[in-house]
Amino acid sequence: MNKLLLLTAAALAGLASGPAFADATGTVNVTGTVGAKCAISGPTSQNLEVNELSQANGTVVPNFDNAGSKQVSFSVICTSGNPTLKLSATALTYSAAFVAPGYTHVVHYTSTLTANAASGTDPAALTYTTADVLPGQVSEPVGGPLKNALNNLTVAISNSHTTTATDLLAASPTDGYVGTITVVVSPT
Amino acid sequence: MHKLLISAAILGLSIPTIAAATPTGVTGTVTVDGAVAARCQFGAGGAALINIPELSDTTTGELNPSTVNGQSAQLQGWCNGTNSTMTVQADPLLNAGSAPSGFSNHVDFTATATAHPTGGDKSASDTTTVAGAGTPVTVGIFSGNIDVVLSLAASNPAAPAKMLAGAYAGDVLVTLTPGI
Repeated sequence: MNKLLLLTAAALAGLASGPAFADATGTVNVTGTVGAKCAISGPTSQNLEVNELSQANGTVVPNFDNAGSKQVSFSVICTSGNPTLKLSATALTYSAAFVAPGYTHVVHYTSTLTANAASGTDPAALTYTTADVLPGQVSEPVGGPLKNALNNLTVAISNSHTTTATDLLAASPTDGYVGTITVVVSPT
Repeated sequence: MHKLLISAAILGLSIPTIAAATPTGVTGTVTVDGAVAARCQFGAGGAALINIPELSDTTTGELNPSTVNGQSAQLQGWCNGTNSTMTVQADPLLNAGSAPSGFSNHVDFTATATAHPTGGDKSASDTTTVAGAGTPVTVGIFSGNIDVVLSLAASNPAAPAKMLAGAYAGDVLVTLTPGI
């Protein structure tokens, strides 16, 4: 009888001190993406009124001297780390039916694009000057993210001129001379 | 001299008879004891993935919380101890890039895991804004799905910070601790 009890106790002891089981951990991995993108906050199209393009002698005013404003700003949002700025423009042109020799209906000019970088070191100004044969679009990387701020891109005009400096400007209706500056901000 | 006759019968002696013994059984007892250790395990459903294709608002570039809030996944596990507990630890969505001023590469959120024992659902949660795991919750004995849901997403810094482009990764760890 005594022997039987000892066996039982030993068996119980072995069961009570069985292996300890560790915690079990399940994992849910969460991944996400932010696509590189750019958008304009606010108006995507703005007008620059340059007013009277000719001087008293009929030739083009230098540097848009009669303009009310020579620059506009855009608020551009880009999530990418190094967006690209692109600039092109068309000359100010009046679609006159006939332009006599010694006259012109085309005013060339220079557009200058400046941008603010988040790092504080802004990229070099980008310039584009129209000509009778338009040059190709110019571009450059910002060199880092665009500054997260309003009006972080500015376009300015200057250097109004005609191909032949002595040409007189053909008269036009109000706002008859029209040109377009195109600014593109690409995420990459 | 008279002879004395001796004989049992004559003496009238009676010789008592001895009754035969009835055999009886004896019982020896072997007690068998066993035990089941408290245990928790995740089965084949011990890992899951929540993938969010686009975290940002495509117009503002800021975090779009609705892309995170409500995202869910399921794990499968079990515990056999009445005092088993469940704990959640959530780690934020992070992008490896450096975010300049005005940008964010960090998304915080809250993760809630819900087990379904017979006595009623038990939920544990954790927010990525506080380091470490959340408060343990007793789930007891259960076997089946553990539903994990994300909520309260916010970028750090908060909007109007724009989200830096690129890949983000975080995780939710659900730990089952056995107990009896």
